[in-house]
Amino acid sequence: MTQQRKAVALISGGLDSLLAAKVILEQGIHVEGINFFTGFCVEGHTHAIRKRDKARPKRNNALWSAEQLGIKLHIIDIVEEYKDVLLNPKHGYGANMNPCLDCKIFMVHKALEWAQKNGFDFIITGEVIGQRPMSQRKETMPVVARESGAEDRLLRPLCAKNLPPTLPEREGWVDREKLYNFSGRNRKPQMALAKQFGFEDYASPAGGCCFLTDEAYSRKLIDLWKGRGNREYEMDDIMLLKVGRHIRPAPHYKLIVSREEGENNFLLGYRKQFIHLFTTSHPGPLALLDGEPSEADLELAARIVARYGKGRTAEQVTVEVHFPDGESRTLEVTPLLPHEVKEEWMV
Amino acid sequence: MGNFASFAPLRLCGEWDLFGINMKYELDARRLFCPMPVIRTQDRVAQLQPGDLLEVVASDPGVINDIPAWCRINGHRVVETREENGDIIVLIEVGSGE
Repeated sequence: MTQQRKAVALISGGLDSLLAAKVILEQGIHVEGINFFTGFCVEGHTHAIRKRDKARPKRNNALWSAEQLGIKLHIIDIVEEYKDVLLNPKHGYGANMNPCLDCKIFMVHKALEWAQKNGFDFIITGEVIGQRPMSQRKETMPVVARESGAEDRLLRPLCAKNLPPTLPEREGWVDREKLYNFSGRNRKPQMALAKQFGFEDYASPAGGCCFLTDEAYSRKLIDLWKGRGNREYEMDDIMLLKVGRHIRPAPHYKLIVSREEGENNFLLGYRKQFIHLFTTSHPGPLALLDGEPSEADLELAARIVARYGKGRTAEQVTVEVHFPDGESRTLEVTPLLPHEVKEEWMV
Repeated sequence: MGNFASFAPLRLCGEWDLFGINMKYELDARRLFCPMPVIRTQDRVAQLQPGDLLEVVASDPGVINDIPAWCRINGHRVVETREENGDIIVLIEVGSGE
């Protein structure tokens, strides 16, 4: 009796990983999915926070992919371990704070560990040569295989024919002839294959799934580290960078000002950890203050918060300032005028 | 009591059902955003026995879709989903994992 071979597929929720897993499933291989949560994943968080996003249908695309494929999905929390990938990427960063190559190596390595522990034979990814400028190039494909430790147990079904045969192909576990030779940034072959498999409503093919590729997010992350004088971060920091206007009037403190009701409610959850300010004479945003402000700083912070409320044109606005120890005070301030909120304060 | 504790320490934190066979557990996943409630659910379910019940209390509306999707693909059953005092509660019956 032939041994049932098993593959673990890295499922991001995007089209490529969905197709790669499907191609191998079609060859009679037992496939299970694995999805890694770094904390920087675009999905979920912001949808849940911002009220305007709540109107959109919300789903986790990795779970959706697994359901389309009829496979199990294992979601792994790698937030802590991922810090070293982000802080010390051997292969450097992409255009922003995205350590894409190190990230891919790390994830394939984690998948390999999982595969070894659970008796799986090889690993599948949806990588396509030339698809991504940093991690998916002809030169980097062997780097991922080698440095992850997966070596020739790493199979990329969508571009396998452009690469040397891997162990599953050489051993005849999968038929190389039924794999693909996709390359480059053209998405048409993937879309055609999706159509052939009957996949519709898949996640946007061009959509990035990591906040670290986002310029504005990366800028806020660098500012956070600079403001604190070190590059440590916790999950709450990652979350807060996704929310509100970030305004740093001075190096030693920063304001996070909510932009709408959903963000207001979200920031409220942090009121016991940060100094927080809100207007009481007029409707307005909630703001968290991260840092150690002087009295003058608090006054300026209150004027900034007032500037983003309904009382922005009023002469006087009442702002309450609450401290984590339970103390509070009330300030009467004149809202800053738009031009008084300096451009260089905006993170 | 000492013998019971050493026999089934995991079950001490749940409550017996009417038949005394399976247990009901609770998981507080409030203030977590998806996929964290799903990950916590997944990790908790891995410690339970088929037939056990797990009541997940969450605040992220994403769990309304995500936990049932996770259950469907991993062989567990959603018994009930409801909202209570602003929280979302999903009651899961642990399957055999097949």
